[in-house]
Amino acid sequence: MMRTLRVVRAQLHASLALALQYRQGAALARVAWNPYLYDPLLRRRLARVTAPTLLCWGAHDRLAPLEPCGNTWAKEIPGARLRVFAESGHVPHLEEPQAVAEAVLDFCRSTRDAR
Amino acid sequence: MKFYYFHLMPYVMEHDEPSSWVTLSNRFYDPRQGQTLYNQYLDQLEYAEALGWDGLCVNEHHQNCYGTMPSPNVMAAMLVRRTSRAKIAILGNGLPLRENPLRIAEEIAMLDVASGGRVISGFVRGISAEYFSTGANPTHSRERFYEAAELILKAWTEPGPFPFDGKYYRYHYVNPWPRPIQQPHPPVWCPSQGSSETVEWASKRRFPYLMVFTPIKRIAQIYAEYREACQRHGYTASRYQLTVNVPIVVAENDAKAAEIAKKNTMWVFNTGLRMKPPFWRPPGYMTEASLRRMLQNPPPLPSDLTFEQADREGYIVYGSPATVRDKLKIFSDELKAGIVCSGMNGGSHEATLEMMQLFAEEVMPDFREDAAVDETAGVGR
Repeated sequence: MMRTLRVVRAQLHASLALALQYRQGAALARVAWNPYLYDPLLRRRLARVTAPTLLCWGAHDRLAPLEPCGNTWAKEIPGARLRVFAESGHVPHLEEPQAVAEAVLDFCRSTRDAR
Repeated sequence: MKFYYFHLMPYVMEHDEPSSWVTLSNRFYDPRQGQTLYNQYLDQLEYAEALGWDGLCVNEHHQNCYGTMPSPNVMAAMLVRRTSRAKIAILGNGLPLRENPLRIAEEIAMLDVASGGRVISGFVRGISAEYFSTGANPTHSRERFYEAAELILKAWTEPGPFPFDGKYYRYHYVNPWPRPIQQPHPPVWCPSQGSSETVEWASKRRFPYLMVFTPIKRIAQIYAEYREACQRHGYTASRYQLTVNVPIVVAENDAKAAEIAKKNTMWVFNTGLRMKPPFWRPPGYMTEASLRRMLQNPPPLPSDLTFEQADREGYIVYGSPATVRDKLKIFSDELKAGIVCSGMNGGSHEATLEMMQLFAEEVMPDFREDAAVDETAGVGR
């Protein structure tokens, strides 16, 4: 009896997890199905950025890979600097917080000094 | 019982690719071979009318070798001029896949007028993979389906011009010429896999429900839900609202039929419907209620379906004429389906024509007690 209950509970959990995953996928698809997770107009808009820009990119990013995404951003944003974080995927500020914080501080100092 | 000849118009081929849909490169498609196939397939549909079939069915699928009819209305147009009696059932147009569904109202009306009122108009959402091959957003699928259907029905039945302001479709002038011959509009069918939402929607409007490639147990369950829903809406379902699509193989004896079914019919499931798993479940295509129901009792992937299981559960009907008659009695007497849609594949064009003739001569006459009944009277509208 207890064993059956445990099995039923495990199945219920698995099914709830799948339903949740499905709901999250659907929420994402609502905004990012077509074009699929990218904005075809973005490239031309990047050229209009005037703020000093530092790009912090994970070397292992598979959602928006360094090539072509990070490298294109670096090329299109005037004067942008690109820092690649060797141990990171899509969220280097969470994966290598210390290194990213230092990079940002460096960048802020250098742009302040330049002004 | 009525018999409709259903064609997928497959491009039958063997391949080792992971999917027969979306990503199967069209370099495998030889247009010259396609020319031969299209003409043979159209000959088969025309021959079905000559043999006594009541209706001819075409359908819409995109980017695959399973069915090469991206526009069913084009194929229906060819049949309209080459046939004179049979109903022409388009099962159906994928409403949410269209940016301009008013075009469907126009094309169906054209076909209805040119055929003298022989057209049946299926409304479908398009199967999961088609949301990858058309770019339509699967999370909008159901809303777009309902809205496009409302627009098309209104365009057929209300004098134009009138404006239509939907969430997805907006028109300042809805006023299609021509209007359909059949009044108030051509019968609408709902081919479906049995979601409770579609059962509810179809039963409310008296639209026949078509179960496609489904095991008998599940057909019985969905038919019961449909009949119950009709009662709830204040009427008793006509038997012609309960329709089924099941492949049939008939041969001189059971052993020969089994051999043909194993090779040709199982190709449809095992190769034709081979799909990468994500293509089966685009996000948001199913409601969460339907997803939960499916998870409780997940059906086998068609590519994993064995001949033994397909046979046992009634995905296919095969055998000698006597065996096929017995198996079809389950559909006519137990499930009480009014219309059986079925395609046949004998392995070659000639073998298919022979099989059709055998079926028309040896099987069909046993089910003709309703020969004089018009199955579209008061149904689907």
